Amino acid sequence: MVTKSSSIQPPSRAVWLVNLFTPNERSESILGDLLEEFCDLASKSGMAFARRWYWRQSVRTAAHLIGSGFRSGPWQIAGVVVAGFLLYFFCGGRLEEAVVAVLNLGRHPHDNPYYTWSQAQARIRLIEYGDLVGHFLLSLFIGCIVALAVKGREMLVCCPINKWQ
Amino acid sequence: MLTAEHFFYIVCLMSSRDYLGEFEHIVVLALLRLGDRAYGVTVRQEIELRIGREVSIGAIYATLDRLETKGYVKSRLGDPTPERGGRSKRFFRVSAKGMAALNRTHRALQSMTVGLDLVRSY
Repeated sequence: MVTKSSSIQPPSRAVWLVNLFTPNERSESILGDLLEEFCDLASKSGMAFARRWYWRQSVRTAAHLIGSGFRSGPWQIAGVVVAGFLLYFFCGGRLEEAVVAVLNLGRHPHDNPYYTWSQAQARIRLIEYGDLVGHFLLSLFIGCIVALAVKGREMLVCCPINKWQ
Repeated sequence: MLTAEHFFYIVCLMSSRDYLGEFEHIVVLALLRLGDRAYGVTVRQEIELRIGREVSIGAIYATLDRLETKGYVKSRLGDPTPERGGRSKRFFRVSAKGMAALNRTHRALQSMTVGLDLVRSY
């Protein structure tokens, strides 16, 4: 018989999934309840059965939490999603251009109109880094706005915005 | 003619005549059956045992959250326990307002089923 010990651990990805969509004030009780039943099932019916049960519960729990999170403030969530889309749409390209411009600051545009191969590669890398940094800064900025606007339901808003990216 | 005061009175009256939804009804009855032992695991197991349907813990908490927002249910945190990885249980109990909503729902269902021979019909 399996004892209730620290060696019995639920699937970590399933725990992560539940944690992702659970509001902070509820995460302790929901994860605790799932762990308690998981340990009980593992000792009665075996680890494989308990793991399957945990996965099933996690997926259904995440679906319910997404649904209830959306129902609790549908207009607020829809508004923040639309605002996030608009921010990406209007600021996306400009922020990346701004970062490239900042990286280009010390360079005079008419210094050397003819690139060597290594200069061209350096230039491409600069644009790529600028693009990455710009993308990162924009994601960070929108993430902060989303976190402030819909505290506790950030994942609901970030999922559709990330899909669009 | 309806004035703004009449309208306000009707809205107040309607909100005070709230009925429980199907799953809310089941969860409140489970809380009453369990008494002081009512927390996520026991509520889920009680419902599964009585109605023979696997219910997710997320569905239970989503319903309990809604009931708590309406003031039908009150909750308190218990002590952390080692079998739960040091996490505490959240115990629930039905409030007086919840009992009133439950009685209202029961009376409505009873009055709707008066004169219907449900067993013979189906």
